[in-house]
Amino acid sequence: MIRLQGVTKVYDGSTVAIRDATTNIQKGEFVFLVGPSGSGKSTLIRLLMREEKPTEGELWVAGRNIADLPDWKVPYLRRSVGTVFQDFKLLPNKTVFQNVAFALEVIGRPRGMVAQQVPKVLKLVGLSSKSERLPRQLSGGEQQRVSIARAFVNRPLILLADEPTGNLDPATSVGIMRLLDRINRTGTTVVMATHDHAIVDAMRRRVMQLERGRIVRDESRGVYEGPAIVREASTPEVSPNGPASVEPNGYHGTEASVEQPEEPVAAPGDPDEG
Amino acid sequence: MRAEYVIGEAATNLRRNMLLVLGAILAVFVSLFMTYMALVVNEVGRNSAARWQEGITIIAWLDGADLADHTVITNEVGGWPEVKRAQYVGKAEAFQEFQDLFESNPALVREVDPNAMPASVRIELFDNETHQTVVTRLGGIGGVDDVDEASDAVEDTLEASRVLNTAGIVLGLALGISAVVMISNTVRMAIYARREEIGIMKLVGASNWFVRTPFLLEGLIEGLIGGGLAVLAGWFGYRWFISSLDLGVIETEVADSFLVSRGLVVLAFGAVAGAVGSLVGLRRHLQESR
Repeated sequence: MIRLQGVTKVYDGSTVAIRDATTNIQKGEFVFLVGPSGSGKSTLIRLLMREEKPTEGELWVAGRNIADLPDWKVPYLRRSVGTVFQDFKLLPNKTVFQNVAFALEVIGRPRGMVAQQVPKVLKLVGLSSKSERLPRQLSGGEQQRVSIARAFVNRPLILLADEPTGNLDPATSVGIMRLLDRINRTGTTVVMATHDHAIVDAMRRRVMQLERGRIVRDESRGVYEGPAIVREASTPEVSPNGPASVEPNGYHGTEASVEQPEEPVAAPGDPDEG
Repeated sequence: MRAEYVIGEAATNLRRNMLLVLGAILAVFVSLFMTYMALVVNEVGRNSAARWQEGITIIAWLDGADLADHTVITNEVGGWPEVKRAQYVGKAEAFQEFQDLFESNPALVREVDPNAMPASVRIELFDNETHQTVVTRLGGIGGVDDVDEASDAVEDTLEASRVLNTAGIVLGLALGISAVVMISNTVRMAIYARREEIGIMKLVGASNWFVRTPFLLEGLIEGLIGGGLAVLAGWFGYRWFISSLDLGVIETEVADSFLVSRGLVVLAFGAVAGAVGSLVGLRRHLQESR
């Protein structure tokens, strides 16, 4: 599904963001990209969605070497790659329904298909009852659900998520991760860049660690801190909502123990509403 | 749904940046108005030159209506050694010419009696140096009422209209470029105002043309409105101002058909300026990746 062969990305001729990365991601895998700020996680995501071109190397996504992809073909690549970001990127003057429908409308899908698919995917993310709300009337977690619905409504082969829980409190993050996990179970490959130790440690999926542009660790069912690279002061970056050591409520248990993530869990102190 | 979408988006863009849009329309308007007026002035010059064309430098207006007398005079003048050609223009022909010149003013044409039009002999010389001799000699012929010559004044005026014409086109061109820049700026502002939306459109895989078309239409509309205003203003400006000027030998009437056909050309230029302007504005913002 995704294959990197000696991929290097250099900015302005000198800043190396990705250095000679080679790896393979199979269809249906769930991969965490971890590492400190500036390690190249976001650059890798941007390369995978062809927001940037690699300086060197081959980069195969959904069957195409996108290093050579001409600009005009990028829209067609994007139709098989869904993207989710830390800041949701919702249109503030469109309702939940319209935000999701927008993704289908702008690629010319017929109205009937829009009317059919949007409610389906809103049900999947648990927002059926709020489809006529505006983004500002939703909690941060709900907004991120809308953005996931938008990324998934076109049934992409790959879902790229850049710090999708970065703006959310731990409890809300758990709900988002459940949702991404469900999407992954439909066969969608998920690649998620994150700082969130708790989530990575709880999910036990493939972990790829980046360090100054290099892939320094790649293990299946991994945790955030690899055993080989444990340094006391080297992880100053902590999830923005508090110490990374906060236990996600009940996440170590079964999925059933997670309480309804649809609720705006931390409404009073939710950093998104400030 | 597609056309509906494109038109809706373009309308939103136009509404959101009203002031800039007005500026762009004004720029198109001014430049195309200049161009249109230059075309009209050029036509005025061409019309006035019509009587004096093909080397004819002297017109002898004849008394009376007797064709036989006129033929005698024409033959006599035609026989002079200085004269290359003497062409008789009868009352009927003179009226026809008058009708052509004042085509756009039927009221005037109606009021003129074809018989009141004077017959004339149009004279072409071998050598314009002999001009004065011929004019003097014509004055001595019975039956010649008056003699008009392509005086320096006529030459000067024609020359002036040529200069004015060139200046108008150069100015129109310069302003046309500024119109394109203005339109590209408004489109750029419209793109800026909607950058979030465009970013998301590109994120979910909208094709480049899907993103571009509304902005292209926006520029086109601005160009067409500016061009349309220029044609209207040019038309009324001409009717109220130039056509009422009394410039003596200079004929200021221009046919409606001319005004219409050149108006369409000007309108087409507006459309092109709009399209080019928005393409320029779109170029940088829709670049994909570095």
